[in-house]
Amino acid sequence: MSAVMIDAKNVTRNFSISRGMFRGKQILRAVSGVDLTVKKGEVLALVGESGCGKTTLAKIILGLLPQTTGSVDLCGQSIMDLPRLELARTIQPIFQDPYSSLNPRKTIGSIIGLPMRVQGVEDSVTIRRKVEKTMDLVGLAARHYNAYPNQLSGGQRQRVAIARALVNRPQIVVCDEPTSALDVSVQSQILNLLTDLRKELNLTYIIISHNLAVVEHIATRVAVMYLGRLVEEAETSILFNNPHHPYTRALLESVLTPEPDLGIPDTQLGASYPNPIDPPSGCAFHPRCAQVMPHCAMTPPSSNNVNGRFVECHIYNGDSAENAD
Amino acid sequence: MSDRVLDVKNLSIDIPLAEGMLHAVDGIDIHVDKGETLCIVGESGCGKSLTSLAVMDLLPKKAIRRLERLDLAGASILDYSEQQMSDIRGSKMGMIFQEPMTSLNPAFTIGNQMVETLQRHRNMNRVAARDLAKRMLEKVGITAADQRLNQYPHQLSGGLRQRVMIAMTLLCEPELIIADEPTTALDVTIQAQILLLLQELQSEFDMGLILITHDLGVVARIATRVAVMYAGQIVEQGTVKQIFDNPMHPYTRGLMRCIPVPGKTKPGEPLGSIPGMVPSLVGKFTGCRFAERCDHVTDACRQSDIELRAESGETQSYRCIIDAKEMAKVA
Amino acid sequence: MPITDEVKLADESKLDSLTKKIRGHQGMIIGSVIVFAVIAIALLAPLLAPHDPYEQDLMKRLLPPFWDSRGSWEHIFGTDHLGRDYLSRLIYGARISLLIGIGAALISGLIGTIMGVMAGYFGGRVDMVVTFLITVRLSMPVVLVALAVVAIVGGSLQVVITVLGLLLWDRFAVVMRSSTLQIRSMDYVAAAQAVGCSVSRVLMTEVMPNVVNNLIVITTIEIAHAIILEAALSFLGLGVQPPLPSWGLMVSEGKDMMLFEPWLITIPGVALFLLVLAINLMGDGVRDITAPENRN
Repeated sequence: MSAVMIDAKNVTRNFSISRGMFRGKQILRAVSGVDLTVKKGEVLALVGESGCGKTTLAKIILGLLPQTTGSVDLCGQSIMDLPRLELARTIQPIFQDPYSSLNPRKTIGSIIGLPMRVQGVEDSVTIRRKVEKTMDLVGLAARHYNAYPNQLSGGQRQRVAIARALVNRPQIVVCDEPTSALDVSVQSQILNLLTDLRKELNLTYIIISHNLAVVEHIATRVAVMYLGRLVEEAETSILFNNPHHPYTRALLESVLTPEPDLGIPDTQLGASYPNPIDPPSGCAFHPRCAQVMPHCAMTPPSSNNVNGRFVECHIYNGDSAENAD
Repeated sequence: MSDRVLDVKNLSIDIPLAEGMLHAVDGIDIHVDKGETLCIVGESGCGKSLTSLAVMDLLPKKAIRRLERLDLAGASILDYSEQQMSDIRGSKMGMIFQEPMTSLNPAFTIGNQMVETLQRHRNMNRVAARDLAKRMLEKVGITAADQRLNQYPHQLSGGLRQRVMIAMTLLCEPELIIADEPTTALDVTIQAQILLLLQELQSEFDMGLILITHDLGVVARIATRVAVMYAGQIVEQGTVKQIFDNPMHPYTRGLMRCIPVPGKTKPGEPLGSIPGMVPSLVGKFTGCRFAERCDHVTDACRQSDIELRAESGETQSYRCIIDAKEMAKVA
Repeated sequence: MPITDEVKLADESKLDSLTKKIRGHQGMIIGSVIVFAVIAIALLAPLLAPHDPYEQDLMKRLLPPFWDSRGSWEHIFGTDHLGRDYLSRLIYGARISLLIGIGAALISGLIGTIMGVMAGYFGGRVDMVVTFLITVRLSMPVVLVALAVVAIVGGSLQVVITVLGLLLWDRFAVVMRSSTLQIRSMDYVAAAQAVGCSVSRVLMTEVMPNVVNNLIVITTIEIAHAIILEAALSFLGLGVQPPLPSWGLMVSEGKDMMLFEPWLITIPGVALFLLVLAINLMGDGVRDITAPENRN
């Protein structure tokens, strides 16, 4: 049985939003009671749309943001107990925007070498050698060592970001939309690279993506988030072939594959849009749900965790008289 | 043809830069008929956005636009003055941009902006204009339209704003709508809704629609015809079925191979990719612009400019020296 | 791993590209030339000044500059009401202007930058406190406060530099705060934190290099600002004390004789104007050239 790399229990993160000088504060529940387990070698995809909390959850797992309640264990140790440097050796991020993830005033070599210097490596020869080795690993020509980020293309910059994340050979990599900002022809290169690196370096990935086609291609498990809650989680093929939660269904239907005869799907989601500060009562998805039942607006659904398949919906927790699909 | 909403012939756009003249767009022809959706697809830097700006005469001042023909619904607008163009923009030609926050004026309410458009282009009085605006908002699926009219753009979500943009564009019942990446900034579920809406409205109003995007999935689902752009040129065009069932140009084929398709591409298998980068378009460029990245390149490819070729009677054309039979044999 | 992307790196050396950029920026060239000239003049004052700036010769008072019919080459810019050579006073005055400008800017720059960067980076309460302090400072009339302090403590070069330094930090704070806020939201700051950088390291290596552009511009503005303020203070008699050849003081001493001996105020006035203009031009130029967007 593979080691558990990430064990998040009941993670909640609230933000205090000021509504103006005289209207006091409101609580934004960015992440609400999320349980997540990631085993070694897995690629867990966190999917969801704006406001679902996936980026906040990723930052919590990275240790960049503390959780309000709940616990996060990395490789068996609580994230609160891990010293900063050891945390950095364990888990690293790759961000979405290759134009803002690299310091424009530093050279490529300096950017990739930073993690080593922070860990205390002082010998510049050692640093240079390892940096060049990592550059080769990610497909960057060695002559870019002294270049600046604005001299490189988007795809090359993303490779630099990947090299920086990997130079100290972490165990876990959190990729936040790693290819969304890139052209199609470059996306595939970066995706192939990420897959190869995972095998070669025995990495564990968390991938945040809104692109479900990409998710289906590289993820082993998928976790769907909606307004801060985890609404469904399953192995990729199981989720894609037989989605349970109505939101997951709508999400999958919305994926526009390049197949000309299929037209544009009508997901029946309605025109209302959720407000994270003032979420709907009961099940947060109920105003947009095509299969909504009367009690969905009143009671939040309990979760159902069977055979490694998790879903939080009244249809599946045996509370309802009927069982759809 | 009286059905032809837009006819563009031999459009070129040059931009003078410090290091030389950038030939951003080089001799492209596009046309759209009533009820038709033309998708212009390409990656960043191919010139697709500039093309749409050129049609609307909204290019930056420094840019030089050259055209043989520019007809809107049969009438030539090639030599229209700024005043004349301003009259037809928003009335006969509508444009929807990627980021609705920048195309809606944040200082005025939705209602204000919509009414102003109607007053300007259709000479309506306030009451009639507001009523039409309300009905248009409802048509694009916005509930509580009366309240929405009194709201400011920042009070609406991205999806709602884009619906408002569409409603505003439709107010004057244009012949042609140009949508530049209208759903790229939106969530996936909202994207499907907006595209469906566009499609329904297009057929209801019998408009021509040009949709510019980099997303081949969007193209496949909404296009009638497709023009693939690369490095300032159209490298392939045809009906949507032709392009997706039988792509001819190596770039189009390359693009198709890059995309993961759930159910078709095998998970975990490496995706196809196109090595190399777009060449610099500054200064004179001879030969095929895709040559450096093409698997089938020969010396002949670099020697002279390549024209679009089509088999006789075929509506699909592509810019390559390899003929159709050879292309069918090649991977 | 196939290396698939090509990029054209600059074939020219860094020095070549730098000189090319400088040559293209005429304002900066003019500004820099003047500034360096003034600095050189200030440093070489003992060698350049034809006379002792403090030496009085009442027989030779109020001699006009050399371009006037009554002028002479012995006193190129004429003399003041106490017979002191104006050119020499101008030359030594450059020292004072520069000292005050740079000194005040250094002190206020240090205070304002620390406050602004802290506020921008940490946000929350730190930001609240700093914003409050900025607001308090902005509601104080600088000149009056400076006058009051000088009136109590007495005017001297050190006092003026200190007072101006302690009062002029607000623009530094505001600009540094907004620049830092902008940088704070960049992914490379988050990446540096994830890599394990301590807060001080993030501030020094990720934030500061990227706000330094704006810092340069504001510094030049504030140097110029301090120079003019000192001139104003000295003009009012509560800045540098006579017989120091501050340009402001020179204007002040010459104002009574403005109508008949206009050179007494025009010469130091023009000098002040040119110096301040030059500093601003140079600052603009340095900022433009070092901006990362302009790199190749």
